[in-house]
Amino acid sequence: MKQYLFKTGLSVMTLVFLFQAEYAQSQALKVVTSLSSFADITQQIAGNKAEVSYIVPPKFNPHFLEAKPTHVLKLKRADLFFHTGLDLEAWVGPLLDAVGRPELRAGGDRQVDLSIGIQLKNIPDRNITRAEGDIHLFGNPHYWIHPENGRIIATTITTKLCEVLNADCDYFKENLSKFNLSVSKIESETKSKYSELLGKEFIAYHDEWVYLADFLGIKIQKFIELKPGIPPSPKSLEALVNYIKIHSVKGLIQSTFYPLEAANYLNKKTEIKVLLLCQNVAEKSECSDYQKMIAYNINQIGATL
Amino acid sequence: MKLKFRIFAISLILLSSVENIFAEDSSTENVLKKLEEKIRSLESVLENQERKISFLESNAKNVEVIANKSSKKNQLVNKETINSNIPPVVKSQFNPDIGIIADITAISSESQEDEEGNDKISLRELELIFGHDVDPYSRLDATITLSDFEEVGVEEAYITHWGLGDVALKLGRMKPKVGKSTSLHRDSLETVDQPFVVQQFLGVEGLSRSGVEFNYTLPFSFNSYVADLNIGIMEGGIGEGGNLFAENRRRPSYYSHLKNYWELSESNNLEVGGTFLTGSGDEDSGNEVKAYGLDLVYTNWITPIKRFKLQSEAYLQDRSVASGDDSIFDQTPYGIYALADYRFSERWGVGARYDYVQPVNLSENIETATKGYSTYLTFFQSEFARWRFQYQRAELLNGTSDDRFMLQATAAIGVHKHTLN
Repeated sequence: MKQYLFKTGLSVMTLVFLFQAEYAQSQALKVVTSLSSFADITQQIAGNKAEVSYIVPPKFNPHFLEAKPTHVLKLKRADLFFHTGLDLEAWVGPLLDAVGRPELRAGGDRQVDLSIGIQLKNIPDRNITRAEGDIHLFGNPHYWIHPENGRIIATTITTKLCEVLNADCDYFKENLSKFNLSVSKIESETKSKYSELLGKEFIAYHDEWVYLADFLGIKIQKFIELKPGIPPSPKSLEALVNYIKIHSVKGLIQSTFYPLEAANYLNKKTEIKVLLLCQNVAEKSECSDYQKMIAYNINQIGATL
Repeated sequence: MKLKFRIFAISLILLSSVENIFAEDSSTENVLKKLEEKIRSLESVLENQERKISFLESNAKNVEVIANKSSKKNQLVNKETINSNIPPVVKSQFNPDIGIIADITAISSESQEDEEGNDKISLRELELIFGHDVDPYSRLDATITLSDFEEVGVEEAYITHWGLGDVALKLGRMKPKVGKSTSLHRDSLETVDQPFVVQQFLGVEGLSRSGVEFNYTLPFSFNSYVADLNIGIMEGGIGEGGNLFAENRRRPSYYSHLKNYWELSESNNLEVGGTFLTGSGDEDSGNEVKAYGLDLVYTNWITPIKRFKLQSEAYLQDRSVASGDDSIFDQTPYGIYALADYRFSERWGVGARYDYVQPVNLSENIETATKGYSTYLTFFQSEFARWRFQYQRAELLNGTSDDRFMLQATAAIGVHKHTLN
């Protein structure tokens, strides 16, 4: 009996020690972001001063995430929370209710809405209803895809990091400069390289590429979805077949998490190029960081010329 | 005379030239004004075009400002910019989130009882949902229900209070966090009806009681394991048709639930929970009835759209203190269900459920179902509308069976926000 008690006690003590050891290892600033793209930008700015993780797996649609208890735990331990703001991440509200930390809720000083300073597109200028599909009330929320917005996001992140870790502000600013430089380089190189894309027409599965279209000067006016969030019907796909043929559409853009059946059908009927691009970092192996993601998306579209 | 004439002529010439000068002055003024206007309009154009650059510069300044330990100005700049993105109508809104969910169900049953919706199309439930932050520390949520079968009722109305360290408190009428299925609203279920064990032990719609509930996440440092503890006290009584506790609401009931959650991988997770409930089984004041529950959920996201879910729950009642005659009352009745759900496309899902439950009162309720086999097909019309067809074969205590066909339409408008489960 005594031996049993001793063994049990020893095991418990070992476990406690292991827990403590794990705690001791992670004294860096804990930053949680909603998306992997924000996590990558944050990591590039914060370097080794922060431990950065994200909530939405990059291969999943950020709108429909089923928030898990591990996400609650992650946010309970977070020092900072960076999120998209707007109404893309419909799960954030219930998640923050479960987390129960006022400083992470809207207006709290430990959360940052990264749509700050972004010139949003498609802001409804009239009363909207769900008859228009799953339309976004505050404007199109996929803003991080535009390289210029990437720089704005990085600046916002740097500002907050400086506020929280003032002593390392110079380090963050230095990393911000490096980040901005690398993004600007991609911007200037690709903009001139693919200047002939201006005015060319593409279609997309979902209306999530408006910022990239703005950057490249391409047109995306038709979508596979009947309305935002409403899957296509056979009739609507037939209409798209005709549209693609009449308007000489250059390609079809979609993220990896949308079903491919409709895209394959259109490809079969019209030979349209299907471009599976990255909405977020690590969605595909070619998009392993923010700069690579931006370059990959632009180059894929550019390759249709 | 000549001199006078000359003076007059010179005066006239001078006057006319002066007039010309004034005229020239006024035209110059106009030109200047026009130029000023043009400059102003150009300035505004320039201002608009350089807005993003200004923002970057101002933010860069903010970084400097923060470095000098004065972050307040920076926050002001950011707030102004935030506001510029938000439509004016949103800025002034302090109205609560409002949502409405309609659950319209058609049921065909062999049963002769006039139960909820048998052989008719009915509005089984209309939920009016309100919720908003009260202040930085609390939130108020309420769900008012209306239906073809009941008076207007308050299904939920509770305050969630945070800022109590690691403990969150819920106070008011709520669905207690016990088991898995009973804490869900009908629109969040995978099937048209609650599992038999939940219906017969806790109530047709599960539990909904007034009380206080404390939530605490145990302080383990694992990243992929979470232990979540809920402890609560609720008013006595039970949900409609439930047999675990008596109708008497005089004495409170107590409950606790420990949820163990493992994130096995990015797309696989397992949840195992344990429940304990105790309350009064009769009119007196003792908490003589106890119930123990075990719940299990395994979820596998095969792709971002395709999802497989396995869910099971079992409850065991301990009525050894409450019951009298063993030939009439089962002292340790139990029930279990197992559900498999497969969402195989963006719009379609299928599933099946097996039910088994033992009745408490062996002498009555001869039509009580003891076994059930259900299968269903779900069509997700959109994020806000869903159709479900379910076939159910129920085997009753009296040896007969009931084949039920159910068609459920669920539609939501407004803001629809249920808590995490």
